[in-house]
Amino acid sequence: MSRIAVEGEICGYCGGCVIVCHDDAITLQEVQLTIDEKCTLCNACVVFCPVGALTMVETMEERGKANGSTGVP
Amino acid sequence: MRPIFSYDAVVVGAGPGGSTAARTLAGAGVKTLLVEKRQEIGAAVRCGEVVGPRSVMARFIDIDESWVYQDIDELWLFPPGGRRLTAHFPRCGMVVDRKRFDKALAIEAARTGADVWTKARVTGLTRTPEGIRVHIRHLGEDRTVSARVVVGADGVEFLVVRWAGIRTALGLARVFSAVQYPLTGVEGPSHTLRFYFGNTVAPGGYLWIFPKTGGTANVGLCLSPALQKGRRAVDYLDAFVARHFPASSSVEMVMGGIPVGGPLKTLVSDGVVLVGDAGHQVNPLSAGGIVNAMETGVMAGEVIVEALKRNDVSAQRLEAYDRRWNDRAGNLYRLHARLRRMYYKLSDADLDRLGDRLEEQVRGRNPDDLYTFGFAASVVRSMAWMIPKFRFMVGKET
Repeated sequence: MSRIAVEGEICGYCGGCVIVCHDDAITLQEVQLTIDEKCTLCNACVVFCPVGALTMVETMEERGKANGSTGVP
Repeated sequence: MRPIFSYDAVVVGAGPGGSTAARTLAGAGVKTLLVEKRQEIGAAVRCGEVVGPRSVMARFIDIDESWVYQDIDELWLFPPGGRRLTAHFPRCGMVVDRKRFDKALAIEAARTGADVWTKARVTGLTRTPEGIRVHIRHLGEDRTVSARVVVGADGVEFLVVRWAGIRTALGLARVFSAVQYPLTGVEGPSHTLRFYFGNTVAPGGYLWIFPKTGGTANVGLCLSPALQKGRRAVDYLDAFVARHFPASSSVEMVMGGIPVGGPLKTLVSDGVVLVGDAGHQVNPLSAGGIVNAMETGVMAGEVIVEALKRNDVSAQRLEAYDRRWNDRAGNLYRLHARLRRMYYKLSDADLDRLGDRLEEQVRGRNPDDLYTFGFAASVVRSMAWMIPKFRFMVGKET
Protein backbone atom coordinates (compact mmCIF):
# COMPACT_ATOMS: atom_id res chain seq x y z
CA MET A 1 0.00 0.00 0.00
CA SER A 2 1.10 3.55 -0.71
CA ARG A 3 0.48 6.32 1.75
CA ILE A 4 1.12 10.04 2.20
CA ALA A 5 3.93 10.73 4.62
CA VAL A 6 4.31 13.97 6.58
CA GLU A 7 7.82 15.26 7.13
CA GLY A 8 7.34 16.90 10.52
CA GLU A 9 10.56 18.87 10.33
CA ILE A 10 9.51 20.58 7.11
CA CYS A 11 5.77 21.00 7.78
CA GLY A 12 4.87 24.52 8.92
CA TYR A 13 1.46 23.45 10.29
CA CYS A 14 -0.32 25.94 8.03
CA GLY A 15 -3.26 23.61 7.42
CA GLY A 16 -3.47 24.63 3.77
CA CYS A 17 -3.51 21.00 2.67
CA VAL A 18 -6.80 20.61 4.52
CA ILE A 19 -8.46 22.90 1.94
CA VAL A 20 -7.65 20.63 -0.98
CA CYS A 21 -8.48 17.33 0.75
CA HIS A 22 -11.74 16.02 -0.65
CA ASP A 23 -11.60 12.97 1.61
CA ASP A 24 -11.63 14.88 4.93
CA ALA A 25 -8.59 12.78 5.74
CA ILE A 26 -6.26 15.49 7.08
CA THR A 27 -6.37 16.84 10.61
CA LEU A 28 -4.14 19.55 12.01
CA GLN A 29 -3.75 19.65 15.76
CA GLU A 30 -1.49 22.50 16.78
CA VAL A 31 1.86 21.32 15.35
CA GLN A 32 0.83 17.83 14.32
CA LEU A 33 -0.59 16.96 10.95
CA THR A 34 -2.18 13.55 10.56
CA ILE A 35 -3.57 11.79 7.52
CA ASP A 36 -6.04 9.06 8.33
CA GLU A 37 -7.38 6.00 6.52
CA LYS A 38 -10.00 8.03 4.60
CA CYS A 39 -7.15 9.14 2.30
CA THR A 40 -7.64 7.93 -1.28
CA LEU A 41 -4.12 8.92 -2.39
CA CYS A 42 -5.37 11.62 -4.78
CA ASN A 43 -2.06 13.45 -4.25
CA ALA A 44 -3.67 16.94 -4.16
CA CYS A 45 -2.09 17.77 -0.78
CA VAL A 46 1.34 16.69 -2.02
CA VAL A 47 1.06 19.05 -5.00
CA PHE A 48 -0.37 21.82 -2.87
CA CYS A 49 2.13 21.88 0.02
CA PRO A 50 4.09 25.15 -0.32
CA VAL A 51 7.21 23.66 1.25
CA GLY A 52 7.14 20.03 0.14
CA ALA A 53 6.45 18.47 3.52
CA LEU A 54 4.15 15.81 2.07
CA THR A 55 5.24 12.92 -0.10
CA MET A 56 3.65 9.81 -1.48
CA VAL A 57 5.62 6.83 -0.26
CA GLU A 58 5.34 3.21 -1.21
CA THR A 59 5.62 0.56 1.40
CA MET A 60 7.92 -2.42 0.90
CA GLU A 61 5.03 -4.63 -0.13
CA GLU A 62 4.03 -2.33 -2.98
CA ARG A 63 7.58 -1.97 -4.24
CA GLY A 64 7.98 -5.72 -4.13
CA LYS A 65 4.94 -6.19 -6.34
CA ALA A 66 6.18 -3.66 -8.85
CA ASN A 67 9.40 -5.61 -9.13
CA GLY A 68 7.54 -8.85 -9.61
CA SER A 69 8.81 -10.25 -6.36
CA THR A 70 6.76 -11.47 -3.42
CA GLY A 71 7.61 -8.49 -1.32
CA VAL A 72 9.58 -10.65 1.05
CA PRO A 73 13.09 -9.28 1.39
CA MET B 1 -22.11 14.41 31.08
CA ARG B 2 -23.79 17.67 32.07
CA PRO B 3 -22.24 20.77 30.60
CA ILE B 4 -20.39 22.78 33.14
CA PHE B 5 -20.24 25.86 30.96
CA SER B 6 -23.12 27.52 29.21
CA TYR B 7 -22.98 30.29 26.61
CA ASP B 8 -25.30 31.74 24.02
CA ALA B 9 -22.54 31.78 21.42
CA VAL B 10 -19.19 30.04 21.07
CA VAL B 11 -16.78 31.53 18.55
CA VAL B 12 -14.09 29.11 17.36
CA GLY B 13 -10.87 30.85 16.38
CA ALA B 14 -9.52 34.21 17.56
CA GLY B 15 -8.34 35.67 14.27
CA PRO B 16 -9.74 38.96 12.96
CA GLY B 17 -13.07 37.34 12.00
CA GLY B 18 -13.63 35.46 15.25
CA SER B 19 -12.63 38.32 17.53
CA THR B 20 -14.79 40.80 15.63
CA ALA B 21 -17.76 38.43 15.74
CA ALA B 22 -17.21 37.86 19.48
CA ARG B 23 -17.04 41.58 20.13
CA THR B 24 -20.19 42.25 18.13
CA LEU B 25 -22.06 39.53 20.02
CA ALA B 26 -20.79 40.51 23.46
CA GLY B 27 -21.51 44.15 22.73
CA ALA B 28 -25.16 43.27 22.17
CA GLY B 29 -25.35 41.46 25.49
CA VAL B 30 -24.94 37.93 24.11
CA LYS B 31 -23.06 35.64 26.50
CA THR B 32 -20.07 34.77 24.34
CA LEU B 33 -17.04 32.49 24.58
CA LEU B 34 -14.12 32.97 22.19
CA VAL B 35 -11.82 29.94 21.97
CA GLU B 36 -8.37 29.82 20.42
CA LYS B 37 -6.42 26.61 20.07
CA ARG B 38 -3.06 28.27 20.23
CA GLN B 39 -1.45 29.52 23.36
CA GLU B 40 -0.76 32.87 21.78
CA ILE B 41 -3.31 34.78 19.75
CA GLY B 42 -1.80 36.13 16.51
CA ALA B 43 1.09 33.64 16.30
CA ALA B 44 2.16 32.07 14.07
CA VAL B 45 1.37 34.56 11.31
CA ARG B 46 -0.09 33.18 8.07
CA CYS B 47 -0.42 36.43 6.22
CA GLY B 48 1.30 39.08 4.10
CA GLU B 49 0.15 41.57 6.74
CA VAL B 50 -1.33 44.18 4.43
CA VAL B 51 -4.73 45.45 5.49
CA GLY B 52 -7.07 48.24 4.43
CA PRO B 53 -6.45 51.97 4.94
CA ARG B 54 -6.82 53.67 8.31
CA SER B 55 -10.29 54.91 7.41
CA VAL B 56 -11.53 51.35 6.84
CA MET B 57 -9.69 49.74 9.77
CA ALA B 58 -10.99 52.42 12.14
CA ARG B 59 -14.48 51.01 11.61
CA PHE B 60 -13.39 47.90 13.46
CA ILE B 61 -10.75 48.98 15.97
CA ASP B 62 -9.00 52.09 17.29
CA ILE B 63 -5.79 52.40 15.33
CA ASP B 64 -2.83 51.84 17.60
CA GLU B 65 0.56 52.78 16.20
CA SER B 66 2.13 49.85 18.06
CA TRP B 67 0.79 47.48 15.39
CA VAL B 68 1.20 49.73 12.36
CA TYR B 69 4.40 49.17 10.37
CA GLN B 70 3.73 51.45 7.41
CA ASP B 71 1.08 53.41 5.60
CA ILE B 72 0.95 52.64 1.90
CA ASP B 73 0.98 55.45 -0.65
CA GLU B 74 2.05 53.72 -3.82
CA LEU B 75 1.92 50.40 -5.65
CA TRP B 76 4.63 49.25 -8.05
CA LEU B 77 3.66 46.50 -10.43
CA PHE B 78 6.31 44.59 -12.34
CA PRO B 79 5.02 42.57 -15.30
CA PRO B 80 7.48 39.92 -16.48
CA GLY B 81 9.04 42.15 -19.18
CA GLY B 82 10.64 44.33 -16.51
CA ARG B 83 8.69 47.56 -16.89
CA ARG B 84 7.53 49.22 -13.73
CA LEU B 85 3.93 50.38 -13.51
CA THR B 86 3.27 52.88 -10.76
CA ALA B 87 -0.07 53.57 -9.13
CA HIS B 88 -0.05 56.50 -6.74
CA PHE B 89 -2.75 55.85 -4.14
CA PRO B 90 -2.04 57.92 -1.01
CA ARG B 91 -2.94 56.10 2.21
CA CYS B 92 -4.58 53.17 0.40
CA GLY B 93 -3.63 50.59 3.02
CA MET B 94 -1.34 49.64 5.85
CA VAL B 95 1.25 47.01 6.63
CA VAL B 96 0.58 45.77 10.15
CA ASP B 97 2.04 43.44 12.74
CA ARG B 98 -0.56 40.67 12.76
CA LYS B 99 0.71 39.26 16.05
CA ARG B 100 -0.10 42.51 17.82
CA PHE B 101 -3.10 43.35 15.68
CA ASP B 102 -4.86 40.03 16.33
CA LYS B 103 -4.19 40.35 20.04
CA ALA B 104 -5.61 43.88 20.05
CA LEU B 105 -8.82 42.63 18.42
CA ALA B 106 -9.15 39.76 20.90
CA ILE B 107 -8.58 42.17 23.79
CA GLU B 108 -11.39 44.35 22.42
CA ALA B 109 -13.67 41.30 22.39
CA ALA B 110 -12.72 40.50 25.99
CA ARG B 111 -13.14 44.10 27.07
CA THR B 112 -16.61 44.13 25.55
CA GLY B 113 -17.56 41.15 27.70
CA ALA B 114 -16.62 38.00 25.80
CA ASP B 115 -14.80 35.28 27.73
CA VAL B 116 -11.60 34.18 26.00
CA TRP B 117 -9.91 30.79 26.35
CA THR B 118 -6.53 30.20 24.78
CA LYS B 119 -4.87 26.82 24.37
CA ALA B 120 -8.42 25.58 23.93
CA ARG B 121 -8.86 23.14 21.07
CA VAL B 122 -12.32 22.16 19.90
CA THR B 123 -12.38 18.38 19.61
CA GLY B 124 -15.94 17.94 18.46
CA LEU B 125 -19.46 19.27 18.39
CA THR B 126 -22.74 17.48 19.03
CA ARG B 127 -26.26 18.66 18.42
CA THR B 128 -28.81 18.32 21.21
CA PRO B 129 -32.46 19.41 21.31
CA GLU B 130 -31.37 22.47 23.31
CA GLY B 131 -28.58 23.51 20.98
CA ILE B 132 -25.00 22.55 20.37
CA ARG B 133 -22.44 21.05 22.72
CA VAL B 134 -18.91 22.10 22.02
CA HIS B 135 -16.26 19.72 23.30
CA ILE B 136 -13.08 21.53 24.13
CA ARG B 137 -9.70 20.37 25.31
CA HIS B 138 -8.58 23.28 27.46
CA LEU B 139 -5.31 23.26 29.38
CA GLY B 140 -5.26 19.50 29.58
CA GLU B 141 -8.89 19.09 30.60
CA ASP B 142 -11.94 18.04 28.63
CA ARG B 143 -14.66 20.63 28.93
CA THR B 144 -18.11 20.68 27.48
CA VAL B 145 -19.73 23.97 26.66
CA SER B 146 -23.37 24.25 25.71
CA ALA B 147 -24.14 26.91 23.14
CA ARG B 148 -27.07 27.99 21.02
CA VAL B 149 -24.92 29.21 18.17
CA VAL B 150 -21.39 28.34 17.03
CA VAL B 151 -19.37 30.70 14.85
CA GLY B 152 -16.76 28.87 12.76
CA ALA B 153 -13.86 31.29 12.41
CA ASP B 154 -11.24 28.57 12.42
CA GLY B 155 -9.67 29.47 9.09
CA VAL B 156 -8.54 26.90 6.59
CA GLU B 157 -8.62 24.08 9.12
CA PHE B 158 -12.37 24.02 8.57
CA LEU B 159 -13.19 22.05 11.69
CA VAL B 160 -16.57 23.67 12.28
CA VAL B 161 -17.31 23.67 8.57
CA ARG B 162 -16.90 19.93 8.24
CA TRP B 163 -18.88 19.20 11.33
CA ALA B 164 -21.71 21.43 10.09
CA GLY B 165 -21.84 19.38 6.90
CA ILE B 166 -20.99 22.27 4.58
CA ARG B 167 -18.67 20.96 1.87
CA THR B 168 -15.79 23.28 1.23
CA ALA B 169 -12.89 21.24 -0.15
CA LEU B 170 -11.50 22.90 -3.26
CA GLY B 171 -9.68 21.69 -6.36
CA LEU B 172 -6.09 22.79 -6.90
CA ALA B 173 -7.17 25.48 -9.39
CA ARG B 174 -9.23 27.16 -6.66
CA VAL B 175 -6.58 27.59 -3.99
CA PHE B 176 -3.36 29.50 -3.75
CA SER B 177 -0.31 27.96 -2.20
CA ALA B 178 1.61 30.69 -0.40
CA VAL B 179 4.94 31.14 1.33
CA GLN B 180 6.72 34.17 2.72
CA TYR B 181 9.92 35.18 4.42
CA PRO B 182 10.10 38.27 6.55
CA LEU B 183 13.50 39.34 5.23
CA THR B 184 16.09 41.66 6.67
CA GLY B 185 18.22 43.80 4.40
CA VAL B 186 15.56 44.55 1.81
CA GLU B 187 16.12 47.88 0.18
CA GLY B 188 13.45 50.04 -1.32
CA PRO B 189 10.85 52.65 -0.52
CA SER B 190 9.04 52.20 2.76
CA HIS B 191 5.54 53.31 1.74
CA THR B 192 5.32 51.26 -1.41
CA LEU B 193 3.97 47.77 -2.06
CA ARG B 194 5.83 45.94 -4.84
CA PHE B 195 4.20 43.17 -6.88
CA TYR B 196 5.90 40.91 -9.43
CA PHE B 197 4.06 38.88 -12.02
CA GLY B 198 5.01 36.19 -14.48
CA ASN B 199 4.97 32.48 -15.12
CA THR B 200 8.52 32.02 -13.90
CA VAL B 201 7.97 34.22 -10.83
CA ALA B 202 4.65 33.00 -9.45
CA PRO B 203 2.47 31.13 -11.99
CA GLY B 204 -1.20 32.02 -11.56
CA GLY B 205 -0.46 34.33 -8.65
CA TYR B 206 2.02 37.03 -7.77
CA LEU B 207 5.04 37.79 -5.66
CA TRP B 208 4.97 40.61 -3.15
CA ILE B 209 7.36 42.83 -1.23
CA PHE B 210 5.60 44.56 1.67
CA PRO B 211 7.80 46.95 3.66
CA LYS B 212 7.96 46.80 7.43
CA THR B 213 10.48 48.79 9.48
CA GLY B 214 14.24 48.87 9.81
CA GLY B 215 14.95 47.45 6.36
CA THR B 216 12.78 44.39 6.84
CA ALA B 217 9.99 43.43 4.49
CA ASN B 218 7.60 40.56 3.95
CA VAL B 219 8.75 38.91 0.73
CA GLY B 220 6.37 36.21 -0.31
CA LEU B 221 4.31 34.77 -3.08
CA CYS B 222 1.11 32.97 -3.81
CA LEU B 223 0.73 30.73 -6.83
CA SER B 224 -1.69 28.28 -8.31
CA PRO B 225 -0.58 24.74 -7.46
CA ALA B 226 -2.31 23.67 -10.66
CA LEU B 227 0.33 25.63 -12.63
CA GLN B 228 3.49 25.17 -10.60
CA LYS B 229 5.05 22.55 -12.89
CA GLY B 230 6.69 20.34 -10.33
CA ARG B 231 8.28 23.14 -8.34
CA ARG B 232 6.93 24.06 -4.95
CA ALA B 233 5.99 27.58 -3.86
CA VAL B 234 9.11 27.76 -1.71
CA ASP B 235 11.32 26.93 -4.74
CA TYR B 236 9.92 29.91 -6.65
CA LEU B 237 10.43 32.17 -3.64
CA ASP B 238 13.98 30.97 -3.00
CA ALA B 239 14.86 31.62 -6.65
CA PHE B 240 13.55 35.18 -6.48
CA VAL B 241 15.24 35.95 -3.17
CA ALA B 242 18.58 34.56 -4.40
CA ARG B 243 18.36 36.81 -7.46
CA HIS B 244 17.10 40.02 -5.89
CA PHE B 245 18.23 39.89 -2.26
CA PRO B 246 21.26 37.61 -2.08
CA ALA B 247 22.55 39.29 1.07
CA SER B 248 19.30 39.15 3.00
CA SER B 249 18.39 36.71 5.71
CA SER B 250 15.01 35.45 6.69
CA VAL B 251 13.88 35.74 10.27
CA GLU B 252 10.82 33.53 10.05
CA MET B 253 8.99 31.27 7.62
CA VAL B 254 5.35 31.86 6.88
CA MET B 255 3.18 29.61 4.77
CA GLY B 256 -0.42 28.84 4.08
CA GLY B 257 -3.25 28.02 1.75
CA ILE B 258 -5.77 30.56 0.52
CA PRO B 259 -9.25 29.58 -0.66
CA VAL B 260 -9.73 31.72 -3.78
CA GLY B 261 -12.60 29.80 -5.35
CA GLY B 262 -15.12 32.58 -4.75
CA PRO B 263 -18.31 32.61 -2.69
CA LEU B 264 -19.70 29.40 -1.21
CA LYS B 265 -23.35 28.56 -1.79
CA THR B 266 -24.10 28.86 1.89
CA LEU B 267 -22.28 29.89 5.04
CA VAL B 268 -24.82 28.65 7.55
CA SER B 269 -26.48 25.54 8.86
CA ASP B 270 -28.70 25.11 11.92
CA GLY B 271 -26.98 26.98 14.74
CA VAL B 272 -23.75 27.45 12.77
CA VAL B 273 -22.30 30.43 10.93
CA LEU B 274 -18.95 30.63 9.10
CA VAL B 275 -16.78 33.72 9.05
CA GLY B 276 -13.63 34.75 7.18
CA ASP B 277 -11.33 32.16 5.58
CA ALA B 278 -13.47 29.35 7.02
CA GLY B 279 -16.25 30.69 4.79
CA HIS B 280 -13.87 31.32 1.85
CA GLN B 281 -14.58 35.03 2.23
CA VAL B 282 -11.37 35.95 0.50
CA ASN B 283 -11.07 38.14 -2.54
CA PRO B 284 -10.59 35.52 -5.27
CA LEU B 285 -8.28 37.77 -7.26
CA SER B 286 -6.10 39.54 -4.70
CA ALA B 287 -6.39 36.74 -2.11
CA GLY B 288 -6.84 39.41 0.58
CA GLY B 289 -9.16 38.49 3.43
CA ILE B 290 -8.60 40.46 6.62
CA VAL B 291 -11.06 43.28 6.06
CA ASN B 292 -13.58 40.71 4.81
CA ALA B 293 -13.11 38.63 7.93
CA MET B 294 -13.82 41.62 10.14
CA GLU B 295 -16.71 42.81 8.03
CA THR B 296 -18.32 39.38 8.03
CA GLY B 297 -17.59 39.03 11.74
CA VAL B 298 -19.78 42.07 12.31
CA MET B 299 -22.39 40.87 9.80
CA ALA B 300 -22.58 37.39 11.32
CA GLY B 301 -22.69 38.86 14.83
CA GLU B 302 -25.61 41.12 13.95
CA VAL B 303 -27.56 38.32 12.30
CA ILE B 304 -27.00 36.03 15.30
CA VAL B 305 -28.08 38.73 17.76
CA GLU B 306 -31.32 39.11 15.82
CA ALA B 307 -31.81 35.32 15.59
CA LEU B 308 -31.28 34.89 19.34
CA LYS B 309 -33.78 37.67 20.03
CA ARG B 310 -36.36 35.76 18.01
CA ASN B 311 -35.31 32.53 19.64
CA ASP B 312 -34.74 30.97 16.22
CA VAL B 313 -31.25 29.97 15.17
CA SER B 314 -32.35 27.70 12.33
CA ALA B 315 -30.49 27.76 9.03
CA GLN B 316 -33.48 29.54 7.47
CA ARG B 317 -33.19 32.40 9.94
CA LEU B 318 -29.39 32.57 9.69
CA GLU B 319 -29.57 32.71 5.90
CA ALA B 320 -30.04 36.45 6.38
CA TYR B 321 -26.24 36.38 6.71
CA ASP B 322 -25.87 34.58 3.37
CA ARG B 323 -27.99 37.25 1.74
CA ARG B 324 -26.01 40.10 3.27
CA TRP B 325 -22.71 38.58 2.14
CA ASN B 326 -24.06 37.90 -1.32
CA ASP B 327 -25.31 41.49 -1.64
CA ARG B 328 -21.95 42.76 -0.51
CA ALA B 329 -19.63 40.57 -2.58
CA GLY B 330 -21.43 37.85 -4.52
CA ASN B 331 -21.43 39.29 -8.02
CA LEU B 332 -18.11 41.06 -7.67
CA TYR B 333 -16.32 37.99 -6.33
CA ARG B 334 -17.79 35.66 -8.92
CA LEU B 335 -16.43 38.04 -11.58
CA HIS B 336 -13.07 38.27 -9.78
CA ALA B 337 -12.91 34.47 -9.68
CA ARG B 338 -13.53 34.46 -13.40
CA LEU B 339 -10.80 37.05 -13.94
CA ARG B 340 -8.41 34.87 -11.96
CA ARG B 341 -9.20 31.88 -14.19
CA MET B 342 -8.50 34.04 -17.27
CA TYR B 343 -5.30 35.24 -15.66
CA TYR B 344 -4.16 31.60 -15.33
CA LYS B 345 -4.10 31.35 -19.11
CA LEU B 346 -1.91 34.37 -19.81
CA SER B 347 1.57 34.03 -21.24
CA ASP B 348 4.29 36.39 -20.08
CA ALA B 349 3.82 38.42 -23.27
CA ASP B 350 0.09 38.67 -22.55
CA LEU B 351 0.86 39.86 -19.03
CA ASP B 352 3.08 42.63 -20.38
CA ARG B 353 0.37 43.83 -22.74
CA LEU B 354 -2.24 43.65 -20.01
CA GLY B 355 0.06 45.66 -17.74
CA ASP B 356 0.34 48.46 -20.30
CA ARG B 357 -3.40 48.49 -20.74
CA LEU B 358 -4.11 48.45 -17.00
CA GLU B 359 -1.81 51.40 -16.46
CA GLU B 360 -4.11 53.45 -18.69
CA GLN B 361 -7.25 52.09 -17.08
CA VAL B 362 -6.05 52.78 -13.55
CA ARG B 363 -4.79 56.32 -14.20
CA GLY B 364 -6.81 58.94 -12.37
CA ARG B 365 -8.87 56.46 -10.43
CA ASN B 366 -8.93 55.98 -6.70
CA PRO B 367 -8.36 52.56 -5.12
CA ASP B 368 -12.02 52.06 -4.23
CA ASP B 369 -12.90 52.23 -7.94
CA LEU B 370 -10.73 49.18 -8.54
CA TYR B 371 -12.90 47.04 -6.28
CA THR B 372 -16.07 47.66 -8.24
CA PHE B 373 -17.93 45.33 -10.56
CA GLY B 374 -17.65 47.92 -13.32
CA PHE B 375 -13.87 48.03 -13.17
CA ALA B 376 -13.53 44.24 -13.10
CA ALA B 377 -15.89 44.01 -16.08
CA SER B 378 -13.78 46.57 -17.96
CA VAL B 379 -10.66 44.48 -17.33
CA VAL B 380 -12.44 41.37 -18.62
CA ARG B 381 -13.37 43.32 -21.75
CA SER B 382 -9.81 44.61 -22.21
CA MET B 383 -8.47 41.11 -21.93
CA ALA B 384 -11.03 39.82 -24.39
CA TRP B 385 -10.03 42.44 -26.96
CA MET B 386 -6.31 42.17 -26.42
CA ILE B 387 -5.71 38.51 -26.07
CA PRO B 388 -6.69 36.29 -28.98
CA LYS B 389 -7.67 33.29 -26.89
CA PHE B 390 -10.30 35.38 -25.09
CA ARG B 391 -11.67 37.10 -28.18
CA PHE B 392 -14.64 34.76 -28.30
CA MET B 393 -15.93 36.50 -25.16
CA VAL B 394 -16.30 39.93 -26.71
CA GLY B 395 -19.88 40.93 -27.12
CA LYS B 396 -21.03 38.30 -24.73
CA GLU B 397 -22.21 39.14 -21.29
CA THR B 398 -19.32 39.56 -18.92
